[in-house]
Amino acid sequence: MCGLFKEKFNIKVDVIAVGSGKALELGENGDADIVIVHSPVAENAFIDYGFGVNRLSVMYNDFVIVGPADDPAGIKGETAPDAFKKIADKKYPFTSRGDISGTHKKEEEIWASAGIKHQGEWYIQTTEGMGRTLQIAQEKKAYSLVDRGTYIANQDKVDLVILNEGDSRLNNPYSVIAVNPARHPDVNYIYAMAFIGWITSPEGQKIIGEFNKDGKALFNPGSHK
Amino acid sequence: MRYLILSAVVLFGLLSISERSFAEEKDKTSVANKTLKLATTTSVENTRLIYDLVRPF
Repeated sequence: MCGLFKEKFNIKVDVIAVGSGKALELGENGDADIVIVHSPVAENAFIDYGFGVNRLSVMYNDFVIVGPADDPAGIKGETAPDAFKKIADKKYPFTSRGDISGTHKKEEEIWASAGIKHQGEWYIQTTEGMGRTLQIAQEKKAYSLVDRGTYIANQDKVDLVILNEGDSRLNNPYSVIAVNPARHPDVNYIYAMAFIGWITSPEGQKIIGEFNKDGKALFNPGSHK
Repeated sequence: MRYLILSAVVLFGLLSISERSFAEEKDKTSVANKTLKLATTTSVENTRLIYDLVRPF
């Protein structure tokens, strides 16, 4: 199952792992041939401005709000905006990526839906990746927003538990987009399209669907819904 | 006749060298092109899904 794309096409893939905002910026500058991101509003702009072409859905999971098991703000069973409002009203610590990643953008959407302007010492911006942000949340006994896959992958490293889930506003779709060769003639467009074809094929989607940690699926195939 | 044979040998040699250089150059180009730069999110990296998809072990 490992490295099947390389095996099949004999194409080496250099992976640059950054937040969605930064990944789109790399595409915009022609520093990547292809992007896999989860930030629908920013993706629309990327396509509309002509930086990307041939966007396809590739997979999805959802965001969850995690926090200390005793849930001091009492966010269980609330809608996502109401959960955020309770955290802000009581000024319980909340760790944010703060890095224009897809997760950070989703968080900002929920704050906006809640009508909250987050300010104060309780709101901690880590400007770090999700794994590190979860560790800081653990240290500060804070709440945080995280995609379910990353939470499951880090579950054995933190005591934080899922306290709020299921709101449709927490949906988390991932797209694959080729960088527009009309903007950047040097990009490897042909192989980018080979990758898009493969990852959205039954074979690529099967790998995504079977990917799990301790039997828990981290992503759902999303190309042929 | 001797000059004709010698010329043929030289021409053959030159053609072989030229063909090999062209093949090497072509090969270099194809190897250079066979790299895809994929910018992806840390969530895909953190979970190590990307390793299963693209990285050979």
